[in-house]
Amino acid sequence: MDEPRPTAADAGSLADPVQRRDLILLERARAGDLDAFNDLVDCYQDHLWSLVVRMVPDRDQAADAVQEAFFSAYRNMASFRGGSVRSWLSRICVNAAMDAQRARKRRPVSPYPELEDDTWQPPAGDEADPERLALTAERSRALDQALAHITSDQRNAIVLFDIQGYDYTEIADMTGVSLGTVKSRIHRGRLALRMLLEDRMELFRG
Amino acid sequence: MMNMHDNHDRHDRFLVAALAAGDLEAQALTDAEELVASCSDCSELLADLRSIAAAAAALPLLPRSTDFRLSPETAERLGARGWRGFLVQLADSRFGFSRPLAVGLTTLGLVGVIAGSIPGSMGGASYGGAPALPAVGNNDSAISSQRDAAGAAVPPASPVPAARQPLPSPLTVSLGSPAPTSLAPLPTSAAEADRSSAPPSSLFGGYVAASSPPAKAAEGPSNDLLSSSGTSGPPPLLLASLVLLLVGLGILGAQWAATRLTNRSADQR
Repeated sequence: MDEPRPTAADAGSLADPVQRRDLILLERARAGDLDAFNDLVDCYQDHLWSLVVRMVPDRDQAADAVQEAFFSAYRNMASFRGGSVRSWLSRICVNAAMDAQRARKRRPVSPYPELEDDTWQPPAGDEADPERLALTAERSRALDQALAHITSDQRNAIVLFDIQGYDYTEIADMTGVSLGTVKSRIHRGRLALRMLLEDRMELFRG
Repeated sequence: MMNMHDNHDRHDRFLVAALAAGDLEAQALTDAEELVASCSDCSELLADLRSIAAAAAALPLLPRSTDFRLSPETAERLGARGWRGFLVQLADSRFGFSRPLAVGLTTLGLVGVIAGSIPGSMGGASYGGAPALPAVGNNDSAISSQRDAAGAAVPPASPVPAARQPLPSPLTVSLGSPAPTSLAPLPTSAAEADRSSAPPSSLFGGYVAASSPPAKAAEGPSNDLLSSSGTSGPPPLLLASLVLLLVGLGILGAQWAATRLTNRSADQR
C-alpha cells in the first residue's frame, strides 16, 4: 500500500525552513514544474559534487555520477516518502558514486589527475597568510592523494563521516551496511591514511 | 621491566582508532585510555588520527565545472512513458545488474547451442543425421549411417561423391526444420535386433539414422528436410539455450538503446 506523499501542508508544518523549502520545490516539480526541480539542483549540486568527487577519484566519472543521480531523482520523484530531501538526494548520489566506483574497477583510470597538478590551489580569502595557505594546500594535496589509495569502502566512509559530516546512522542507511561496519571502515580507513601519510605527518601535527 | 615501546606492535591499534573516533564506552574506554597513557607510540597514534580527521573535515571544496540542471528536452526524455520510458528506467543504476545478467544468459545460451549442436553431445546426438556415438566394434555401420544421412539430403545427380558432400549442419537442421524423415523411429524389435550394429539412439528423441541401403539414397532428390512427418522437435537443451540466447541478446540490445538514449540526455548538459 502506498504511503501518503508529503504535501505542501506537511511542508508548512515543518520547523526547518530548508526542509520546508525543499518539500515545496519537490511537490511543484512533481506537478511538472521543471524550474522547481532545477532550483533543487541549484541548491544541492555543489554539495553532491563535493561528496562524489572525493568518492570517485576521476572528475569525468564523478560528473557522470552526479548527473546520473539527478536523472534518477527526476525519474523517481514519486518514490520520495518524506523526510529530508537532502538525505534522499545524497543517498541517490552515493549509490551512483558506488556504481561509478564499480565501473572504475573494471576500467581503471589514473586517480585524481587534476589533484596531481601542482598549479591547483584551494580557494582562500585575501586575508590568509601565504605560509599558512601553502601548508594548507600541501596538507590537502597529501590527504587527497592518500584518500585515493585506500579501499573504496573505507574512502566512502571517511568522505561521508569526516568530510561531509554525516552521522553513523545516515552513512549506514546510504551505503546499506550495518552501523558496526561503518565504524570499522572509518577506523580502518583512518589507520590506513595514517600509514600512507607516515612520512608527511609533520604537515598535520603543526 | 619490559619496554612499552617494544610492545607497541602488539598493542591494539583499532582500540586507539575507536578511541579517536569517540566510539568507546565503559570498560573498553578505560582500557584504551590506560593504553594511551602508558604507551607513547599509542598516544602519538591517537593524536595523529585526530589530526587526520580534523584535516579531512577542513578539506576545501573542489570546484565544480558542470551545471547539472536539466534542460526541458532532457526532462521530457526522462519523463517519457511507454517503451522509451521503459528504456530510460533500464538505464537507471537500480538495473545495473541487467548487463551482467544479459552477458551471463547470452554466454549460457551460446554454450548450450554449441553443445547441443555437436553430434555426440547432449541434445545433438543423432538428431542432425550423424550417429550419437560410433558403434563399438562396428565402424562400417557407423560410417554407412553417416553416408546414408549425407546421401539422403543430396541429390544423386551431384558430381561430387556422396561421401565428400558436407553433412547437413546439425544446427541448421535443428533450427530449420523438425527431424528429417531419414531419421525414422526405430521399432522396438528392430532396436533390439540392431543393438549391436546400430548407433545408440539420441538421448532425447529416441531416433537413430535409418540404415537404408545406399541404393535408396540414389533413388532421387529427396525433400526430406522440408517434409517432416510428425517426428519430435528440436532437443530441449537446444531450445532452452536458444531461449536464453535470445533473452540475453534482447536485454543487451535494450541496454544499448537505453544507454544511447541516456547519453543523448547527458550530452545536452
